[in-house]
Amino acid sequence: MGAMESVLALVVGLLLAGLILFFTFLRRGQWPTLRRLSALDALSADLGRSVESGTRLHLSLGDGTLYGPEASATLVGLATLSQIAKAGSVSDKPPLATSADGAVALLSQDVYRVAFRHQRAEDRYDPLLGRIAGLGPFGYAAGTMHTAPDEDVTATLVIGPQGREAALVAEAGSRRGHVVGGTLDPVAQALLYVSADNPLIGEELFATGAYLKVNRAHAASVQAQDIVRWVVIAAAIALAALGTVGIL
Amino acid sequence: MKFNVSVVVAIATGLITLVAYFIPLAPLQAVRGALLQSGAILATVALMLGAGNLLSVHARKIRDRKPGHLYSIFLVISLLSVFIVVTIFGTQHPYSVWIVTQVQQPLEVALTGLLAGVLVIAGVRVMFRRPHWSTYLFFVTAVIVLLGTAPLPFVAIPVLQGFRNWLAQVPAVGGGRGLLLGIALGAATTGLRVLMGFDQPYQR
Repeated sequence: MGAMESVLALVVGLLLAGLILFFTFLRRGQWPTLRRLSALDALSADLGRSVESGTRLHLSLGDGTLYGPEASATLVGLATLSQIAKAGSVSDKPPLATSADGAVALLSQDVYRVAFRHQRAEDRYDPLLGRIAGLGPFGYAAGTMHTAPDEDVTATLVIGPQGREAALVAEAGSRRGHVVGGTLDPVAQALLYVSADNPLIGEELFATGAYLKVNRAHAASVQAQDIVRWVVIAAAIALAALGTVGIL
Repeated sequence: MKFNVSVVVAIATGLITLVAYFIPLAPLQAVRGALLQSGAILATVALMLGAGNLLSVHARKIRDRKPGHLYSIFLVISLLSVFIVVTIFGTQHPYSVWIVTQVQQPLEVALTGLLAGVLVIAGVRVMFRRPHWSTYLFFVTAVIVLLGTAPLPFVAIPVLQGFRNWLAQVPAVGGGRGLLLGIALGAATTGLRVLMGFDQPYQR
């Protein structure tokens, strides 16, 4: 990374951090109005249905790790898990979370432990609710394809870093129920567009925490992203115009 | 937002790694290197725990005779066999290489082939499941790209190939960059939330 790019990255990072802090501590008691996203409406409905009907929800956290470029999507998946585990821990069949990395599986178990403690149901905590389905992208997909039929799953959430194999997971889930899917890879997003009932496109994946009301900072992040996106778009157009007229 | 030792350690580690990325000072770089190396070692230990978790899941499935437990028996036998062979002979031995080239890779290729079939079925099904103008646009675009890419018998349609190239190079690249911009901002805010202690995916 050159010096200019470093400075730009630092400026964007500081701007985002400042905006997140500003929106988090401004109007702390109020939740911002967010536009409707059908995929995240469906996610909430799936969660409610699963608790009421005593069926299981499967969260596919993907085959990523916590130390690669895909870690952000893993963190979004874990934040989603924290909310669905809290709601689902009172159900006869608590949600299942599958991953392909040891550290992610350990964190998912920790999220479950906290969720059960939060509901004063520590005795019902089962560490294998956060499990490894397989190692490697296709090993994970092959293992996860059996989760829906074997564990009486009625809704599958593909929220985490996954490549093209996400379509196999979504297809297996759609045979048993409803599928909501979002990932980082644009090609995998295109595949989820056809294989999931409710695909999450682009940065919609990162809005999951705000819609599930994980905490105020998630909503602040969405607001910060919106502002910085327009700043970046305006800068791109201005630079293109300057380049066209020969100033740059 | 609760602060305890683990949160402070996580934030300090993240900040040091990030600052060292921007400021090329030798002491900072050394600390960053040590932290990243420790992370890699911990990840390896976590991988071993993950393999143990995988074994536990399938051992329970076999014990309870749950649906699909025959696959679990096969998985446990395979996992233990590969572990024993690679531990005894090493990763570069012909036996270990044979397992990768003759078992793992063909299975992955088979799954890729399955993926192609799954996508064709899903692509047609989505037309009925989600009737919307964007679905039809997606389907028509996919058909044009397929016709413009595949070698057609007896006919050559240069207009179609040109249109396919324009689709791939202009709207697809533009849309892809838009998606990547949103994803980059989303990834940055997610990392910043962890750095500022708002998200604590550990010991909450």
